[in-house]
Amino acid sequence: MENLNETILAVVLDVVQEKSPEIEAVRPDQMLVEDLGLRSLDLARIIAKLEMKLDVDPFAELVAVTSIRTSGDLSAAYAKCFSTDEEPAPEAANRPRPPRAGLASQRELRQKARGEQSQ
Amino acid sequence: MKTKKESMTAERQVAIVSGGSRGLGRAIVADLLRRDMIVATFSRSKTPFIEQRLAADPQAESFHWASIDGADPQALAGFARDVLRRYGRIDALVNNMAVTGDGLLTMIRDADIHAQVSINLESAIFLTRACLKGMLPQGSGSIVNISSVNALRGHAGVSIYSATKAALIGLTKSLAVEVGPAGIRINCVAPGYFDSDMTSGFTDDQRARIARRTPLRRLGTVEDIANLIWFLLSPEAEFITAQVIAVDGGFVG
Repeated sequence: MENLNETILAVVLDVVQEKSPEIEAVRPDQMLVEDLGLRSLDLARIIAKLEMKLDVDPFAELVAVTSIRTSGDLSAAYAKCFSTDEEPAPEAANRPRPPRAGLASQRELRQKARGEQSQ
Repeated sequence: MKTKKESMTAERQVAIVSGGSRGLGRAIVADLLRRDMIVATFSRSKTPFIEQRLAADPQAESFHWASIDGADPQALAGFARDVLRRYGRIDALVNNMAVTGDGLLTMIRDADIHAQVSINLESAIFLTRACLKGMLPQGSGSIVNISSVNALRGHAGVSIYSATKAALIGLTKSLAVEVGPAGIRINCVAPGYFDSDMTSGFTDDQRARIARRTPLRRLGTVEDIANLIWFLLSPEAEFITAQVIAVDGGFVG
């Protein structure tokens, strides 16, 4: 599991550093959007990179991608692919949930669409 | 530091062409191979062209073919994954696979409507999504969707075909905006009437009438279309995305 977490953090850092080279490390509890400045396309790139490395896509069926707010959420999602236990991991289930970045980015898209329509 | 164009030409580029066993797809496959790309394609069964290419390249160094059902999203995703594993990258995708179904809308069978929507549109969407999973990590890629002049000008008897081909234009324009920031380009080619299996049944009178209505006074060739596809896939077109280009001798004006 530690290797999985490290792999995920390394991929997240890789994408984060393309935009913010000054960031030297990322933590599992940091918000991908609010803290690390990622956008939905960046998350899509992270997931594509992880699918190439891990050969699984938890967002095809197991997990809603809109539930992903942190690197820790990503770890919990990928852990489900490698687990035979159908219950969610306790730490993922019990952790207090911060505001949903996935929904925020969808809200951004809706606002943008409304703005363009009103022009 | 290498420029984007230099890095794109540093190693052999890998292209997926849907429906590459016959017709226009076959011509596109042959053209991209001639231009030293690695080309992967699929169809339900082998044609003489596929058998010839496989025999010429038994190690699949430049040409890969698989027998899959092009209407099966899982099979399409699996094909793209297999290409990624074999060659390590996907640089180009040509969504060429299509079926036609002539007839007035009220007289078309339900199954024929579903088949056209499934193959012409849904399969292009699923294959594009699968290939993007290879292109996004690379930060580069070029996709060409084969639309049709029927998407640009109405013709009786091809409403479903036209609808699916027009939908590819919508897919192209929105997806180009979506993945442009990741260095991926998407364009549409809209062929007019050209010499192919689809026009082989035309009478001489029909062909002459089409030529008369075409400013350049002839039907197109598969080479006319393949040349544009190559240009759009190549680094020469690295600032072109979200475009629809008709190859029709001026037919739609």
